[in-house]
This record gives sequence, structure tokens and C-alpha cells, in this order.
Amino acid sequence: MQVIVSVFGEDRVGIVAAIATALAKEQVNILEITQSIFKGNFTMMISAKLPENADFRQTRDNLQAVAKQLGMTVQMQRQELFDAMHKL
Amino acid sequence: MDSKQINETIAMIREENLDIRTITMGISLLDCVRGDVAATADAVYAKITAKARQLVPVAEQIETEFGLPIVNKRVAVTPVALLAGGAPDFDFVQIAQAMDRAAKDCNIDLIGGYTALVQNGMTAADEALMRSMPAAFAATERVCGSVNIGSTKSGMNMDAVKLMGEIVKQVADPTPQNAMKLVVFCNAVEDNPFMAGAFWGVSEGDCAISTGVSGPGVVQRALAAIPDAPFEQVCETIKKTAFKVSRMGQLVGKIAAERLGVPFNIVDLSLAPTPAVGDSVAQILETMGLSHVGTYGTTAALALLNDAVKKGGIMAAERVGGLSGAFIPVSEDANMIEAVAAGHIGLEKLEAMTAVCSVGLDMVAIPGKTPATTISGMIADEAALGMINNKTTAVRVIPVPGKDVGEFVEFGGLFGRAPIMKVNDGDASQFIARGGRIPAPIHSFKN
Repeated sequence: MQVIVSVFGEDRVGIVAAIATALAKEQVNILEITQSIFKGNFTMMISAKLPENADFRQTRDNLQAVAKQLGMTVQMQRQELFDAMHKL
Repeated sequence: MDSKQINETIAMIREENLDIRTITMGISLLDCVRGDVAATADAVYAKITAKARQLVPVAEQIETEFGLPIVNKRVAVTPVALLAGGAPDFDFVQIAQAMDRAAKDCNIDLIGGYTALVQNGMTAADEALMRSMPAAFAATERVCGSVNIGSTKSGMNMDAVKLMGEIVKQVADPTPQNAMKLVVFCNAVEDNPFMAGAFWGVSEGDCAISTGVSGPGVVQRALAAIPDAPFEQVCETIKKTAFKVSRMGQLVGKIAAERLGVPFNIVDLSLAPTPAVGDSVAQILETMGLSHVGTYGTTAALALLNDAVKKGGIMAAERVGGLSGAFIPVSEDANMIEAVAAGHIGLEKLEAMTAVCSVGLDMVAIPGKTPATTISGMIADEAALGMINNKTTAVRVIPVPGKDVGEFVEFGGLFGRAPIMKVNDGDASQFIARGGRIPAPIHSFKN
């Protein structure tokens, strides 16, 4: 299952490392990353692939726990949502 | 991966209240008719729980995976007036109680279909169901009902209009909140997923999933970004936004239907407000350049909004149905409540707006002392608008016992609060007492 992980919050050291590590622990394969900082606000989008047997809720909750420690907001949503809205 | 598009979608959900307003399972109860009320009630409970047991868990799974709120999970059933079979003294309240129990056991918000379709005439069972409504809504929490009293093809059943004026008053006394569960329709549709008027028409299949999408906040934000644009651009912006919102409904409905093992029916692309700030249809009209909803220009603004929503949504979904368009319930819309409280909009302007919105006079609180014949007159006027203009219209008014103009009634949650509106104090009693039928209108010579 392909997902989009989006991370928002105030910029600080170690965000990419922490999120990437959390994903690796869950065997989530990162396909693409884009990141930007605007007026100190950090935004990162990760396109990734969950393993076949992944527990979606568990993976998301673990990710949110890591983000919370960093003071960030994270969301993980299935890719189809964005495709449905923006692709004909 | 286009991060701008991803950002746009996330902002719609997080900041602009985009949601799937309802996922509604339609269930036919025609195979539950037993001829005996207790046996029928048991069959009704068994069928609803068998079909809808997984509805809420599946909807919650989808919410988690897509990060998209699904606000309501509901069931619509066959018009219950059809379930009496050959029983002479069928106690419909027992069916309402079985529906309510099934809804609670499946964790469903509301269940619709305590309904009679009497546009051509009332059977004894239809009339018994209508007369049982005050007791049924008082004895249950989640059951909703409706009565269709007219259509463009049939004309208007004025005996039913007279009766429903009385029933609406009885339903609201002593608990006005019960009147929120009752809608009186003209040209009711068979696949509407929105409450309180949802029922599952007899021409539908055994069981299917429909979705209702919303997102007035998304449309309002998009229009706020083009304050001076001409109307062509306004319409294009609404169409594009409605397209995106409706695609969500199509996606979610299709996945839910697959997981529940039933067909996917329709997407209802309705802009339905909630009392939350930024989730208002009236605010969209104001953003088009009106100082407040109700002023001159309001009907035109609503007409273009309703039409553009349909145009944008229709291409986004495989099958569109229900009441698609823009709802204008008073108590569920923060800017509408404000306009009524400030005296900017009255029932007359609301009635005009219902000629171009998707439904009708909705969630309007009126003084408890309003005579039943006046409520029948309101129902007749709304039905006439629907009948002549070939559209669905409805009346969901709430006569509030002991309260008068200037006071408020609280409904709680998504239903909001409503200022009691001034009702014309003329007398329609002689007109309503005539009874009989208003014949179907001619479909040519339209002027």
C-alpha cells in the first residue's frame, strides 16, 4: 500500500532522521521525499510503501508518537486519496 | 508526488472542514413483511443488524487509512408504511422500536425510513403510520421519518397536507427536538443519504452504500481568494472545488461498498453546513459579495452555487443522486443563525431561496402557538414550489412549545441552535380545511 506521510511544525535539528528511522523500524520503504522551510515552518512530504502485512493504525500511531516528541504534527494517508482528488 | 496538491488536500481536511458527511447503507425491508407486527419487528431487527453490523467498523477503518473524517454512519430503509401487510391493527411504533434497537446495536447515528409516500392518496396503513409518528419519535432516539405529500407527476394530496400540519405540532410537543426527525417532502427522492429525510425506495435493490459529501468551508475559502472576479470565474471555481470534494465521496463509497460486500449506489454532492465556524453555506453567499445572507442578490447567489456544485460534482462521480446541491438549514449554519437573529432574513426570503436550493425550509424554529393549519399552509406553499418547478422541496419546521419570536431553542451538536422565527399571522384554516387534491400541473406553456 502506498502512503503519503506529511510532517509539519517548527524547524529543528533531526526531524528527517527521526521520521526516517521510525519508518525504517516499521519496514516502510521511502520512495520520494520533498522538504521545504518557509518562515521557520518545516514541511516534509514522504511518498512511501507499507509492507504487505503492515498494521496501518499501529504504524501511524508509532509515527505520531515520534513526531510528538519532536513537537511536530504528522499524518499518514493512503496515496489514492490524493490521486482521486487531483488526477483525472 | 506533487507537494502543492498534497498540501491543498490536507488543508481542506484540517482547516476547511472537508469531510464525508455521511455514509449511508440502504436496506430493503420488503422481505420482512410477516403480517404480524411482532414477527415483522423481529425480522426488521434481524435484517438491519445482519446487513449493517460492519458499517461503523469499516467506516472507521477508512477514516484511519485516509485521514478523512466520516461524520455520520447511517441506515435508510424501505418506507415502513409498506410493512403492514394484511394486519388490520398494525402497531407501527413496535417497528420504530426495532429500528432504534438495531441502530443502537450497530452503533449507527440515525436510521431513516419511518416513511409514507402519499402523493396520490393514503392507504389505511399510510394514515396509521403518519398518526403514529408522535408516539414513535417519542419512544425512540435514532429513528427519522418523512412523508411525501406531492409530486410533479401526481399533484398534491391536500388531505395529507392538512394531517401533517397537525402531526408536526404533536411531534414537537412537549419535546421540540423530536420535530427534527420529521421531514415533509414534495418530489422526495428514493436514494437520498441525508437525514432526516433518507429512506430506501422500493425501486432500489436489496442493499447498497451511498455517500454524502460536504465542504462549504472549502468552497468559501476558494471564493475568498477571488474577491473581484466576474461570475464566470466564480462558477468555474465552485465547479472545480465541487469536483475535488465529490471525488472523495466516490473513493470512500466505492471502498466501503467493496469491504461490506454490497453494491455502491450514488454520491450525493451536497454542501451541508454545520454550526462550526467556517462550515457555513450562508458564508459562501456572503463571500460572493453580499453584506449578509437575506439581502437582495441572495437568491441569485444561491442559484449559481447550487447549479455549479452539481456541474462540478457530476463529472467526479460514477453515479450522482440524492438531493445534490446546497442545503440551507437555519439552525445548522452559524451565519444563517446570525442573520436571522439580527433580523436580516425572514421566512419569506427563505421560501424564495428554497425555489433554487437543493431542498427546502429546513430546521426552522417557529413559535409553539403557531396553528396546525398555518404549518399546513407552509407545507402546501413549499410543495407547490417543488411541484411546479420539478424539484424536491421539503419542510422541517420545529414549533417550540412555550417559546416565541426572539427566543432561542437549543438542539445540541451538529443540529445547533435556532432563533424562533416570525410567522405570518394570517389564517389559512379555511383553505386547508377544504381537503382533497390539487391536480398535477401542466408541463407545457411554462411562463
